[in-house]
Amino acid sequence: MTAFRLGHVAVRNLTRRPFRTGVLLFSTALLTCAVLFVLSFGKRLDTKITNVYDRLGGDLIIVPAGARGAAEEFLLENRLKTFYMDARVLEKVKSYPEVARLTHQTYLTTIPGACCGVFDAQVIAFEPRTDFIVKPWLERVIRRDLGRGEVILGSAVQEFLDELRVEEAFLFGKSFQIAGVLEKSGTSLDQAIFIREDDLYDLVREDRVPGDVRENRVSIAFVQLKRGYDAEEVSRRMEAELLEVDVIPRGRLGGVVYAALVDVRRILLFLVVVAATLSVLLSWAVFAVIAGERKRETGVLRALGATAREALQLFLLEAGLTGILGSLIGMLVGAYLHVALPRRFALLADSPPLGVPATLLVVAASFAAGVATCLLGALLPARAIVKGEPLASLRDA
Amino acid sequence: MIRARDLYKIYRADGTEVRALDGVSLEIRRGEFVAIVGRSGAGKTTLLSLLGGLTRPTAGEIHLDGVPLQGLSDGELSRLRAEKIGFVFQSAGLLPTLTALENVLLPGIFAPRQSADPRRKAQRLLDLVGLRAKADRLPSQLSGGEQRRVALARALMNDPVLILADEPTGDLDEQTEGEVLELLGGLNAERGITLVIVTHSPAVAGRACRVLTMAGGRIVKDEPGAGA
Repeated sequence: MTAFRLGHVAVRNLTRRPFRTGVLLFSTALLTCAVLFVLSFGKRLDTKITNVYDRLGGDLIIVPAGARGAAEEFLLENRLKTFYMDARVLEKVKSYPEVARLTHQTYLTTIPGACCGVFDAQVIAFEPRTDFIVKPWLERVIRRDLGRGEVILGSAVQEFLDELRVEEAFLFGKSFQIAGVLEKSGTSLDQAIFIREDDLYDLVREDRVPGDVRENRVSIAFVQLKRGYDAEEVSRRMEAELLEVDVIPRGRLGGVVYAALVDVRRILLFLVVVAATLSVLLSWAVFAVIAGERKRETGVLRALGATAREALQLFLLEAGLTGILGSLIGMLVGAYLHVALPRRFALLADSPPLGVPATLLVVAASFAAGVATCLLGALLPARAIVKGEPLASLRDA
Repeated sequence: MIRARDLYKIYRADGTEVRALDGVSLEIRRGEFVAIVGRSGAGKTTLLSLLGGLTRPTAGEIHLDGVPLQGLSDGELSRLRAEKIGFVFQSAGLLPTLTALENVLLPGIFAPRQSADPRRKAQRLLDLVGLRAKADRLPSQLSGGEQRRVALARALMNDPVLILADEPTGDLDEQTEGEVLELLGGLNAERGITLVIVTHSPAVAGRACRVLTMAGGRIVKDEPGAGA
């Protein structure tokens, strides 16, 4: 038979007023859920930004003048975009003494029916001789350069092809061998099909590619600066001198979008702080009422031999149990929102799940927030009631 | 058993000084059944609370089994209460969310030495007060007399040497009062537990072996009772 302990008394006390306990549970769950969602939202956003930056690899990104927004929409928001500039401008870029390496890519979108069934994808042609963007992924995935007539697919494209049970890709009516698949990044690159630039030019020469693609036109260039040069400063100078291009330092990519998102995150954090404060106040108010109601009971417990510490422990046990249960409920709801809501945010759609350390951190922080607010709220009224003499509690009630 | 000397308890509120106890000295021997009587405000409950360590005197000394209460910390006083003293309050003071059995078990949580099988002991105590069949009832499902008997069983849980009872039969009918008194008398006679009872009831005072009469915070009369 189980021993009778203070915990039993705490549970009985909580079930004594189900509505009051329910209100506390609800507020704790709400707070935990909000903390979990806001933290995981922030973490996923950070992961997404890091993924994009890691995949882009260059210090500067050069796009046609006026195409900055389109480039950001493709790279950050998974929207298929094409834009082109004269390839000769790259010679001017290369002439800057700060430039260590430069490579370029050409984008074209597939047309439903022309490629890969009805899947819309962004074809990215890269120049193998100068490339330093795609090469690191190729080394990881196929451990060699991409050959002529081969493609490497983003994870979303491969998933689509798997559904169709095809093992080769048809690009603009021409068959390509699938050399490999990139790991999921949660970026627009998951929707990309990488081919060699010379293969693209073959398609252009065969007049298979619609639109503005020409051999002397490229979409985007990536610049790696020599060590010691400041990307911001070089980009400012390039942009002032080369009017036909926009120059984006990697860290500024999506600057406006991310600044807005950082603000959104700050607002959410502020709301969480407000919710936490209200939760503490609610817990304080509820436990102040409980303490008032149970003053005589506390006196009786002290008379029966409970120390002030044990009497305090009883209140904190009740607060702690409410906090634990409320936090668990909140975490379940928060976990659901964590999975369901990002689909509604273009920037977070398809972002990879949080890693184990980040998940543990988010779970621990939200759980701690829920339990701590209950305990904090209960501490003050509970301390006030147990610190007096037992006779005072017995008499004043 | 109990030795109190020059006890003063003075309350100060809103600039007014109230002398609840005004120089009380007394000795109570082990196994005595002492009734404290007097009009309301005479200082009976204050004296009982001082003897049980529920409050501290403004001045004076109390020794319980040779231990000076004034030298103990709050925690040590709590442990002493858990180990040596059983309390019975005017309104039973049962915890409303706990069953009769759990209320009896309650002091065991705070006892320095736990009984080997607390549940069995609590059931035996409920048996002793004739309430074993109602062990699973909540206090709200018990009559006033039954609640008082549960409170008595609870007071016995840690095998106290002293029971301090404040108006234990205050609002009970004559027959129920008789039953409770029977129990208290039995405990005193058979187990040698020292009983100090604050009461207005002539019936209770009539069973005590010593009756202390208080007025104005002092013991004005100390005489043998009918139970002597």
